[in-house]
Amino acid sequence: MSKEQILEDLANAVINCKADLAKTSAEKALAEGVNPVEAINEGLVKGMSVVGERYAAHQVYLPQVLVSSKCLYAGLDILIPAIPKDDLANSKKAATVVVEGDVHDIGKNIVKTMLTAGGFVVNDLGKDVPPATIAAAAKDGLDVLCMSTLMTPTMDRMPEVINLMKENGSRGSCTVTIGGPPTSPSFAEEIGADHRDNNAQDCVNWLKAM
Amino acid sequence: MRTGLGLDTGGTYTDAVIMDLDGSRVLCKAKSPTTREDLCIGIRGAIEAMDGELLKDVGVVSLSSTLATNSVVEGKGARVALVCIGCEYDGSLPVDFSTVVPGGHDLRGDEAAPLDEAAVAEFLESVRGRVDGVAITGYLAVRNPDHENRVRGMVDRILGIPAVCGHDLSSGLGFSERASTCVMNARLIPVIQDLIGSVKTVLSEFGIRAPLMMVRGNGSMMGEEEARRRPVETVLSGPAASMIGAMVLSGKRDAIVMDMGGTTTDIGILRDGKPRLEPEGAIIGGTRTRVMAAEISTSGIGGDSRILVVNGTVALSPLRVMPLCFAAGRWPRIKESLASLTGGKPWSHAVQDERSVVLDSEFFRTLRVPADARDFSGSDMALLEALRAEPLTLKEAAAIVGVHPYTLNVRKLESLGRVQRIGFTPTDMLHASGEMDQFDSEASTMAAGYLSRGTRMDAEGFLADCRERIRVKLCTELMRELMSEETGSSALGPAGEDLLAKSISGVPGRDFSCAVTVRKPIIGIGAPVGVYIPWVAETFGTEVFIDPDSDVGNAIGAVSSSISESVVVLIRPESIGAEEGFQAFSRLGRFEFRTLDEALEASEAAAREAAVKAVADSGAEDVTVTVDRRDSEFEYGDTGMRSLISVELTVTAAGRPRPFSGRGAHCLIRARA
Repeated sequence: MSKEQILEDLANAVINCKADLAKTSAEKALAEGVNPVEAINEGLVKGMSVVGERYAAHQVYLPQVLVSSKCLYAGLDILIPAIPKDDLANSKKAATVVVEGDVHDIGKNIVKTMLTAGGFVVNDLGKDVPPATIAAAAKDGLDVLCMSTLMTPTMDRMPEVINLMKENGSRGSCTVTIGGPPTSPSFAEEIGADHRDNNAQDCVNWLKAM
Repeated sequence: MRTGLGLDTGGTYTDAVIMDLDGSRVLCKAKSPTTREDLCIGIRGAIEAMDGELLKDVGVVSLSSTLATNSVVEGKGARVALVCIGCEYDGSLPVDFSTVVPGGHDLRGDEAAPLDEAAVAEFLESVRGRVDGVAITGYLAVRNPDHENRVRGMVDRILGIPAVCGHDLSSGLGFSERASTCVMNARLIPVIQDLIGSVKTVLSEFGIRAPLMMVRGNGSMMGEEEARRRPVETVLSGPAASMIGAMVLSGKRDAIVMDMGGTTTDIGILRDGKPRLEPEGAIIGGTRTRVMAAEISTSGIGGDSRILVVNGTVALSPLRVMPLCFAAGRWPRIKESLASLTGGKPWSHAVQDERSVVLDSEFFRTLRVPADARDFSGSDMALLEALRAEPLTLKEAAAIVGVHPYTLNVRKLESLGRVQRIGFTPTDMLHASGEMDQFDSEASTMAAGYLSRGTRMDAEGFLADCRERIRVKLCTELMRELMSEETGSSALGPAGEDLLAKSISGVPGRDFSCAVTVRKPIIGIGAPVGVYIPWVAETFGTEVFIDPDSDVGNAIGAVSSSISESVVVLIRPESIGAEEGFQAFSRLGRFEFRTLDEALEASEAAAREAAVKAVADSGAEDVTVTVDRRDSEFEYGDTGMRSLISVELTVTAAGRPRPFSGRGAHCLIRARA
């Protein structure tokens, strides 16, 4: 089987929500000696980008994106351990989190998927996480923090996290992006975040362009 | 007429100036070399050169000093213990003793953990007699200073030595930055006490009994009592004083200030009569603090910058050398040597970098011979010996040492400060072109002739090329500074670089040209600016101000600034969008209110009272208060609905120093006479 065919299968597995195909194609890629980073970027991520674009264009629904991301992980679980350690050392450390008081984590999970696919080493802090825990994670060494909330009453936690990061000295070295329906670019600016994105695709594109 | 005596102890000179404070006129000025080992000798020298009749009427004295800055850089000062409450310090500055005790607050100002007073007491007992001051920094003490204040009380009771709290020095977030500020402040207390004491001794020798003010890094002044409590704020006062001086001399409250010295050009910006400040706090001796100081960008171009010719091209280098015109006056043989260069032309290896290039028109002289010769080769030592009597070119020195010039490592000796290079500089360019005649123009002209032969230009063309490069360099540095602040990034990108180059060179592209207009006048200060800064102003279509008294601009600024104190209050709803329930945080403490209006009214009143009291304690009169309110608002998603996040009130009281009006000074002066 040619390398091109394997990469195409990987992409199609994600686009068409076929987890088994993602697994077998990932295994084939390694067996045929395809570079795992190339298999991720030119196969799985390409597929996820197509899904992301279709979602942004309202051509597919959110559940399909979630199933696609499961397929992406099925492939990543096989390919990521095969990446030489040196290559991972250069990738940026990111964390994704839904702030305290909120459990709506679909958007956050998509961002996590896209970031992982985009070559970031992602630590998912989960949902309903107190500001102090997030700020402490930033202090432990993060290049990127992506925070999200769906609801208005929990927006307050975002400036709290940023203020705690300023106090513990981790704000300067960490890029902070926020998302979620009640947030806006003006909110990001006023609370001292670096960026606010409409969707996961934009967020990862912005972070990669940095 | 109110008069004031301004003093500035700079790196090289101590300047003194007597100003008519009502008319902003310079009545008398003098300079004396700064004496680092005892600043008072230089201060006394500068005051001695003043008009005695004017001295006796001086109503106020103000000092801008680099002493505190130098002490920080050299790590001098008191022995300090640091008490961290509820958070670990990142260790940016070494401290003699430190501890972390449980305690601290959260963002709402609620206690995160109770203060462990027993642990504090135990630590304080353990450092008894081993420290001169205690620095206290609490986690989120800017939201509630209670724990810091309680530890200060314990230091008073248990040790009875000066204690410094982080919340008194900054209301900004950043535990470690506040701790660094605190430690620096505690270290400087005895340093500043000594300085104030000895300056007052000098002043009393001249019968001056006027109150002594110290200039702060933000350009305002404070009374000596305040300075004893918060000496860290006097650090980096020089640039701010020079900007206030520029404002007073030009009468412009909004301007760009370019201060060109021998080695560097400093660029600062005046906005509404105040120097632009470092938003995050100043970096002092490599450590980030929360001290508010003027934000200055520095570029390596000055009157003594080295101009050289490499591979047929003129280059400007940031290396400081002694101008040939100046050196020729001191050592006549420099001109004899330059005269022997007829016919030859500069030559250098294509691969050599600028610093390794040594031209035949450049001379070296030994500054210091090392006592310990271990790190130096035999030829190093022989070269240092050869260059002791008078400056020589590298070839001349090599002939004496008896080796080939290339075997001498003059670059190493230069970077170690063992030898000084003498060469062609912007100052020589002005002498060769006839625009200056302070020193020996002939030497400059001879060198220009020699250097021009290494290019394809005649001497006149060479000088014009030097001019153009200096103009382009100054213009580029200014625009880079303005553009990076505007865009938040120092990278201009290829398109930005192209537009910048076109606007400064005036050379159009194939289909377009570009011009940039600077919206503020430029004030030039420093000795050589009279020639250079007008070129910059002309390029950017703006006015230029240069005052003959700008050579003592720092001292003028020192005595012309005002006493000012600000209290910053942060008011925020309990939760975003809430109509009721507001909290106010400031160094005065944390307060709760029902409505925003109540919070605003009460906070402003309390801040006003504190600020007015602080300036009155510093000896101010004619105090005015300004309130600056900044609302932080945002839009919910894309709904168009807006909501309040917080309000920041900055209440500033400012006044002029109350002059001393006793006439006792007369008798003392007469008695001396």
